[in-house]
Amino acid sequence: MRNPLIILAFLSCSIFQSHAEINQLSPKSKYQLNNEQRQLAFDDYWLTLLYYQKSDYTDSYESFVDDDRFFFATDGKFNPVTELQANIDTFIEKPEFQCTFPARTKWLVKHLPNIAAQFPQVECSKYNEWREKLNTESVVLVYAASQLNSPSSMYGHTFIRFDPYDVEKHSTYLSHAINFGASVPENASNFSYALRGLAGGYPGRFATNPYFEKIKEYNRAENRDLWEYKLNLTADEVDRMLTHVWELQGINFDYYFFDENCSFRLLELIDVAKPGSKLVKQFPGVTIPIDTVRAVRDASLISEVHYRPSIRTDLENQLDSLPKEHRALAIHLSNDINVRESDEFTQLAREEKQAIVHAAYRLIRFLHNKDERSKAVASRSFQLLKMIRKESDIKSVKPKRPLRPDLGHDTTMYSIQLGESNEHAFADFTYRASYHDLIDNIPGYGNGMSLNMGEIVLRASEDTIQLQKAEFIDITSLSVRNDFMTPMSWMANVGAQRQWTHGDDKLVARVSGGAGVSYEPVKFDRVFLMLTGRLEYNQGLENNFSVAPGVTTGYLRTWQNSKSILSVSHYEFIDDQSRTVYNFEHNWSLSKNHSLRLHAKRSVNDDVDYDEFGVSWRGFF
Amino acid sequence: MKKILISAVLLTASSSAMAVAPGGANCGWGNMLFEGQSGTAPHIVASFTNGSTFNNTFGMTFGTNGCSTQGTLTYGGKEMIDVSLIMDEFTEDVARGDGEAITAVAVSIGVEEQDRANFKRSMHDNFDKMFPSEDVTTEHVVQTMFEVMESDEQLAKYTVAE
Repeated sequence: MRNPLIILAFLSCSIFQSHAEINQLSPKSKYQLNNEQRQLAFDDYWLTLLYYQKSDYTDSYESFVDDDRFFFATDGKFNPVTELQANIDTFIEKPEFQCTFPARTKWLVKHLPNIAAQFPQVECSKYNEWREKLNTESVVLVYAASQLNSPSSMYGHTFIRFDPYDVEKHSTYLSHAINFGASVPENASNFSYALRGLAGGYPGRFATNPYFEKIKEYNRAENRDLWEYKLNLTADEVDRMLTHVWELQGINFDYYFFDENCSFRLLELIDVAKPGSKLVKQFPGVTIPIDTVRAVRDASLISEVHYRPSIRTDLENQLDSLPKEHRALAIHLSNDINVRESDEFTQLAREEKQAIVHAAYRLIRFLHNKDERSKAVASRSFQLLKMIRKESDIKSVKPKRPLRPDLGHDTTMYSIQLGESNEHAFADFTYRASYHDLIDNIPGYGNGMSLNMGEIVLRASEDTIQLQKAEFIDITSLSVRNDFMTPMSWMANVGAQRQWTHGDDKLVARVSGGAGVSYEPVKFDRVFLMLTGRLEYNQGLENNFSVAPGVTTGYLRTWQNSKSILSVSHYEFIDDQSRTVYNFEHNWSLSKNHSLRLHAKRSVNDDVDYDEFGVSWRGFF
Repeated sequence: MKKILISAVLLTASSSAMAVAPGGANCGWGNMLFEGQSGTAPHIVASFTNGSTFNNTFGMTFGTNGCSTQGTLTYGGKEMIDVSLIMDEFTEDVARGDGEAITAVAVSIGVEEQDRANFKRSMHDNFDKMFPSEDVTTEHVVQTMFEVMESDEQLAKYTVAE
């Protein structure tokens, strides 16, 4: 058994000792810097190494790091100058700290050689051992794509991999990954975990793991494809990054889901490696993982891209490559090994048989990935594996690489719509902070996933401009049920929108959600049905807070270069109100970042029925 | 003769400070073939913070398995990757004759590049010996792997600790 407690026991390295003692060094230092030398504290690189941010309004500085162990001066978090001085004092008086902060030491040696000449020599055996073990030649930025049914993964994730020399001839399994994530207590409940993750209640830390653990975590346990972007850093740049990464061991940053997250911290590492790249400066607010990949790409830092499909992608691809009868046979075989004795199977050509066996094996491993071992499943798996072994000259089909996620449409969307609603002309101006809806431009995004956050629609109609819609979050996940799995589809949203109520067009706040099923009648199409519920705050209703059960159904069609959706939703309020909306939308992709959209809606309320039509241009930036 | 004392190795702790031999208290090769991955169930909100439920360190661990948090395991005093952690992938690679997991095992026990094709072929040819049934344990797999290497002229040299 893996025991987290044992891991805890290994936290006892030297950097965990308190710096209180150091912080109380005599303020009158023998190594007092002169004015010119003090200016070095404002050198970009010193500021980067200590994560200082200059305030936009005052001349003050503050470091992102929330950990006393990272600073030697008592006001170090806010003062690059005293911190510089305190580092010099420490490295002379407590030379072992040169080993804790090798990047700072190296930089001081270069920029203040006369002072650094007084640093006593130290042997940094732990650090050297770590570097030797990593033996890094190249650095890879890894993007874990989103998993359809997991809302928390929908924005993807990034981490960094360190590859030893000539890794192509060896195995990236043995490379090491460095990941920035929240450090969460074992007994944290899921809800508080999510909430505090968003709000910044947990310390964020860097951690290293063998890459195969990451492959298992993402490719296998979470069914997320991995994209490996090799960076073209020089040996010096790689050295700078690693020298600094060591300084972050055990250091706490606050973790925030939206801005100071996994991806933001990695950009800082790249900035350290490549002074002057200033990637961090491009992300003053929300940092979406794929946008950081784009920033790295646009800075011409990527030399190669490797796609590592998840177990599920591999499985779906193998099943899809089989003719229909063979697919059924593969699923059958994975449930009953005796199928291999059946005439249906035995009469097939050797290649056909093997394709079925490969798919059946992949399927049984996929379905029982997380199960405790059952005798029957283990036995069937083993028999299938022996069949693969016997005809091992026949290889299984490999998934084709889809479009790189960084080449999909950009994140932020603006649109202008012209139309007519209830016989009044209108113009809508929409801003959506992120990300992708069910019929947005297809390449680079998953099918059946919609994630909209921060959408605002202003409507100009006749002489007025009004807030038409404000969507805080709106998620739909259409995970198809098929012959081998039965996931739930679901939707959830929180926001405000206009609603006709008793003859009045009111802005109402609402929370709604639903769960149901979806299927794939034709490749890439979706048909879905969900039971829904809606909680609405509407001053026009008898009960200002009203509840409505409902139902939603629809069909999502994927064309060559466009998508359309036809849906009907109905709500039955406890106040004896009912509403039905028939909606049709079609989205033509004009280019990667532009599209034209048509929409037609019929809204049937108890008192007002009306139609709405519109045509809009959407642009992504 | 270069001969690994298999039974002894499984019972005694390694002299190496870095690595630990399986067999000590709370310390074994772990899972059997196809044991499943019950510990890796996706946490529905885990990826919100991309975190983990313990305090990670920079220890260059290749898995703990109740033995060690910082080292690899040893076999006959030889450090190597803990095969039980990649048992599923390794088994499949042996059946197919190639793959990243079998390469990782070869690299971790020091098989040089020019001998890896031979290593993979030998493992593949001896699949039935290494995996006689679905009940096979990692211990048996590793033991047989070294036995197969031992009987191969080129691979024998990799079976003893340097």
